[in-house]
Amino acid sequence: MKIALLVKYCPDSEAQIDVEDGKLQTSGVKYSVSPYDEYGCEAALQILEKKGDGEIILFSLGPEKNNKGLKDELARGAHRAIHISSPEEETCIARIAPQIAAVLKEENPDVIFCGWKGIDFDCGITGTAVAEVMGLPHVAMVNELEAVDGKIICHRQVDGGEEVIEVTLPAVITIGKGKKEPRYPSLKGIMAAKKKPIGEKSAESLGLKLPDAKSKYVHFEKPPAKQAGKKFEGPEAVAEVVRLLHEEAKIL
Amino acid sequence: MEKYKEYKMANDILVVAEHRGGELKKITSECIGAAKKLAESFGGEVHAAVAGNGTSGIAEEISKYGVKVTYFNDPKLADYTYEGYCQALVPIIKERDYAVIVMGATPTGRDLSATLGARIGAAVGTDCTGFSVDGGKLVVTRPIYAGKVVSKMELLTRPAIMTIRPNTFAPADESGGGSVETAACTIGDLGVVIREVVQKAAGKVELTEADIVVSGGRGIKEPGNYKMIEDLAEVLGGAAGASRAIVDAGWVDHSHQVGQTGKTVSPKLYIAIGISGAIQHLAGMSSSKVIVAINNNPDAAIFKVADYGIVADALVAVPMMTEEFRKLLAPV
Repeated sequence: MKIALLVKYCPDSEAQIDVEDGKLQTSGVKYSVSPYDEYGCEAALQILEKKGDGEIILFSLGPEKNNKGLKDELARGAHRAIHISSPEEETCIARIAPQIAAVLKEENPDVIFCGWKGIDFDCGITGTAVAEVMGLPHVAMVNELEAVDGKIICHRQVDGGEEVIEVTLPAVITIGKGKKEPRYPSLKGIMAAKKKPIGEKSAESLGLKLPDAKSKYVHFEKPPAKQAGKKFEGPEAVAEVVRLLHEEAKIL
Repeated sequence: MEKYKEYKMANDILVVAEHRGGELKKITSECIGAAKKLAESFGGEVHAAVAGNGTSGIAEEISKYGVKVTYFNDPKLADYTYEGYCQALVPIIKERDYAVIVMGATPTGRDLSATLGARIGAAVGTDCTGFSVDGGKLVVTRPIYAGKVVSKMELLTRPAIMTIRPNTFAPADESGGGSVETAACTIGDLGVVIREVVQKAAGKVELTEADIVVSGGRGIKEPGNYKMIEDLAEVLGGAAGASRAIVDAGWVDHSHQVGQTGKTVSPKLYIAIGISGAIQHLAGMSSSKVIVAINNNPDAAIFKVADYGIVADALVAVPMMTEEFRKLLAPV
């Protein structure tokens, strides 16, 4: 089975993000693979373990530094990777999806996993948009899945419960948090990753003409700083806090 | 440059309604509230689309907000699927030339907005907390980097699609004066098969829609103590949430998790109990209007964001708080 995994490399969740003159300052910030893509890698590895064989191919669109993220997932157990070169400032899905789709079409995977959102821009659009460009069915925000006879059985949360959806392959599945945490790469995996191939592609090498941007970030700022709150000692303060919520905050 | 349909000014706003189990979701009234403001800026009116099977009652309910409702009725629309909804909606979207399409940033709204955006070539702004209209151009405000940064994003297409964060926009008033029309639709293959929908905990408030959320973390010490979180939530008429730590430990189901790899909530009151306040947890609740924290550790990071903090043992303080709220909220 050929599993494709889309990988986003972006500022780590612990990173301090600064803004200056309405622009993002992310140079020098620690980058890592977006967590939902890591769950995607784990889900792919679990499928291959059950099946006994197969291949996980990684795809990442972005600047040169994305190769580090690809190496991290190769160390976890993916087999090879393709880097699609694109400027870090490229955020428009109408320009991003066709590039990813073009490279995926060349590889023709059985299933495509993509984290349901990247934790930088928190959009949650890429996997679905790529599926639509490719004319493939898709299921979003899947927590658990099983590969069975050319289909994937997906479990996802809906409010107040759970949905079980069956999709026939090939398909795109966007990945939410799974029950099992992504495994740590072994030292052996890290060493092996150095030899695994990473191909290079770009819109130019693919002969793609990209549309003009349909959306554009025009300003960034830090949210207003929160005013210091009131702090009390001991459980005796509970009655006072409840009173304040009622009379001061007027919440209840 | 994208050529706008300037010969036929697109002024109207379309809300795609969300409903489940025969009930209209609260997010729809919030979408209509936002849409009414958009309609003022664009100089048009608000329409709503409802897709379902035998849900004309919901269409009537939405019309009370003073909007023109288009109702699609088909057995294949009984459960939401992106394919079913797109097949119903795309023809009227193409025919009526809307300026903006609005839906909730819920799992359904996110799925539909992304699909629709790709199908009709529309820009999509997700999880919006505000917007402005500048010379006919829609600029949405949306949190990024888990809320550490607030961004403004121009959506350059007509229609543009935006999904709004639950509990952020005021719901519309039931101003009356709306109408319902039934539209024909032909729904073909749905692309996926919904095998099962399991409804757990019927009647419990959904976390992302709740006005009040009470969450527990490792400081509650044992899985059995989660009951005191649920009890407090129940007295307050709110939802019970959890930190990642106790979800990973198997004390509660992932559906309760608030945080970066869980749900984002925007309640008017968030009570964090035995939760240290890691960045990933704050990512899921920092837009709460009032935050209360109970933690044994006076240096816990949660106190930096709490409006009211109590340094105390949760096992002692929480039952006291439940009792105080019970007294406060008891009918006189």
